[in-house]
Amino acid sequence: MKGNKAPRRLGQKAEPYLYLLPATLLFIFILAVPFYNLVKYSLGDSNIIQGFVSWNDFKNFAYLAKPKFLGSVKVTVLYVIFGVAGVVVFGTIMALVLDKPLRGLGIFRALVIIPWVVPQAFAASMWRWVVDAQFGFINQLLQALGIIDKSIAFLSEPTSALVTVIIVRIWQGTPFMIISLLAALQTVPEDIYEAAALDGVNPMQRFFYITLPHIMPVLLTTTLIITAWTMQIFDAVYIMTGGGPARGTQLVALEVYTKAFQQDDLGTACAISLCILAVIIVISIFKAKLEGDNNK
Amino acid sequence: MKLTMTQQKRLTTSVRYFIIAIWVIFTLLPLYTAFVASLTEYQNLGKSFLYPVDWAFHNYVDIFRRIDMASYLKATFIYSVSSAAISVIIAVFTGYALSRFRFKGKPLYSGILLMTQVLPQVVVVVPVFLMMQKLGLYDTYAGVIIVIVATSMAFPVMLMRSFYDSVSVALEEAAYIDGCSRLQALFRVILPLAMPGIGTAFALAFFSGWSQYLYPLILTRSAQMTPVTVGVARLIDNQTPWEMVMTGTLISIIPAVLIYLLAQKSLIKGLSNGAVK
Repeated sequence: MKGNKAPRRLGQKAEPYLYLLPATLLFIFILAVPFYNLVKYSLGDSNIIQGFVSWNDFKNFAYLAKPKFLGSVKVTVLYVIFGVAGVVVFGTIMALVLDKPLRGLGIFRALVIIPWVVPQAFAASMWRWVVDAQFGFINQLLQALGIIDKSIAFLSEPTSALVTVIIVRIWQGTPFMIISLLAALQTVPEDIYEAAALDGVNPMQRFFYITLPHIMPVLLTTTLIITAWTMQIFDAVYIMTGGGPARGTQLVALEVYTKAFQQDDLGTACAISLCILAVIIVISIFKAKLEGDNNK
Repeated sequence: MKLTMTQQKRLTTSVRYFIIAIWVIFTLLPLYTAFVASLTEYQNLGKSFLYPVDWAFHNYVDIFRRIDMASYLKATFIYSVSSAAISVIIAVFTGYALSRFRFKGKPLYSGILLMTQVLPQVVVVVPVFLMMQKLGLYDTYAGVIIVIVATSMAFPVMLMRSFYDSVSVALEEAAYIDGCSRLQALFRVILPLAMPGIGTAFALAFFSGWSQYLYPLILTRSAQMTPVTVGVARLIDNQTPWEMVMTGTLISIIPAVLIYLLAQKSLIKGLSNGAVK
C-alpha cells in the first residue's frame, strides 16, 4: 500500500467531516447564525430595519400571556387537533381501501396523492374559488339542489373560515399519510389474515387486532411529523384568509409574520418564534424516541 | 342473515369502490372547478359550474398578457432547478458520510438534519431577512436559493443515505483493490448505480422549490424575482376575475402534476424510503 501510515490515519479521521462540510456550512449560515439572532432580538426592542436596538426586560415575552395571543394559540390548537385528526382518520381509511388488489387500483392510488404535489399557495387559490361566496362550486351546487337559497360566505365568518382552512389542511396532508401507511401495510404478513379468516374473524376485529398493531409504529411517527408540519402551515391560510375574519384563523405562524412585517415588532415576533421552536423540538425528540424504540 | 363468501367479497369490493369514489371526488374537486373556471368567459362565471360551456381557451393566452406570467414561471424555474441541483449534490456527499463513516456526533448530526424538516418557515425567515440585507443578498436569486436548500435538503440526504445503505460495501472494496480512492469509487462505481435514487431526490427537491411562497415573498422585492406562487396569490388580493386566477393556478400546477404522474412509482417509493425511517 502506498503512503506512510500516520498521515493516512489522520486523513481518515478528517475524511467524514470533509464530506459533511458543505451541508455543515449551510447549517451554520442559515440555521445557527439566525438562531443566535432570533434569541438576541427576542430579548429587547428590535425592529426589522435596525435589528436589535436596546434591552427591555423581557417585555416581548409578556405578549405571550396576553388574551390576544392566547386567542391565536386557541385557533392554532383547534387547527392542529382537527387537521391532524382528519389526516389520521381519512388517511387510515384510504390506505386500507387502497391496499388489496382491485380493478383500477393503480389509477386511484395515483389520483389520491395529487394534492401532495400541489403547492400550498395554489391549494389556497383553488379552494378559495370552490368556497367563493358569489360563484363558487359549493354555493352553486347547494343552490341548484335547493338546499340553500342565499349563498354562504364561508370565509367571512370566523368559525366557518376555520373549518374551511382545516378541510384544506386535510386535503393536503392526507396523501402523505396514505403513502406511509400503504408502505406499512405491505409488512403485515398475509398468513395472519388467512388464519384469522379461518377463525371467522370479522373485519372490525381484523383491523383492531391484526392490522392496527402492525402499522402502529408508522402511524405514530407519521402522525407526529404531520403534527409538526401542520403547526407551521403559513402559505395556505395566509392566502385564503389572511388570518381573518376577526382573527378567527390567526394561527401562531401568521402571528409571527404580522408582528415582524406588519407591526414592525421584531422582538415579539422572535419571542413567539422561540415558543414555536420549543414545541417543535419536543415533538422531534418524542418522534426520535419512538423511532429508536421501533428499531430495537 | 348469513352471507356466503362470494357475497361478502362482492360487498367489500363495492364498499371500497364507494369510499374511493367519494375521496377521489374530494381530491379532484378544486382542480376540476379550477379547470372549469379557466375555460369560462368572465361574464359567464356564475352560469355553469359543472362543466365548461365556453371552452374559452384564449384565457390561457390572455393570462400571459394580463400579468407577467412568463417572468413568474422563469423565476420559479430558476428557484426550483437550482435548489434541486444543489440539494442533490450536497445529498450525494452528506448521505455518503452518514451511511459509510462512523464519526463523533453522528446521531446529533442526523438529529439536526431531521429537525430542519419540521422547522417552521416563518421562524427561519424573520432573522434570515435581516441577515440577507446585511450581506447584500436581499432581492437576489442566490439568497432565496440558499435558504431553500438549507431548509429542504434533509429529505434528499436521507434518501441518498438509505440508498447507500442498500449498496454492498464489497463493491467499493473491489474498486479500492483496483487502486481507486474513496472519491473515485463513489463516482465511478456507486453513483452510476444510484441514478434512479438521484432522480427521485432531484424530483422531490424540485417540487419543494416549485412550491416556495414565503421565502421569495419576504426575501425579494423586484418583479423578476417573483415566483408564480407569489404572483398568483397577489392576483386574488387585487380582485382579479376568478377565471384568470384559476388559469394562472392551473398553468403553475401542471408541470409539477405531470412530473409526478410520469414518475409516481419511483417518487412514492422514494418518499416512503426517506420518510419512514
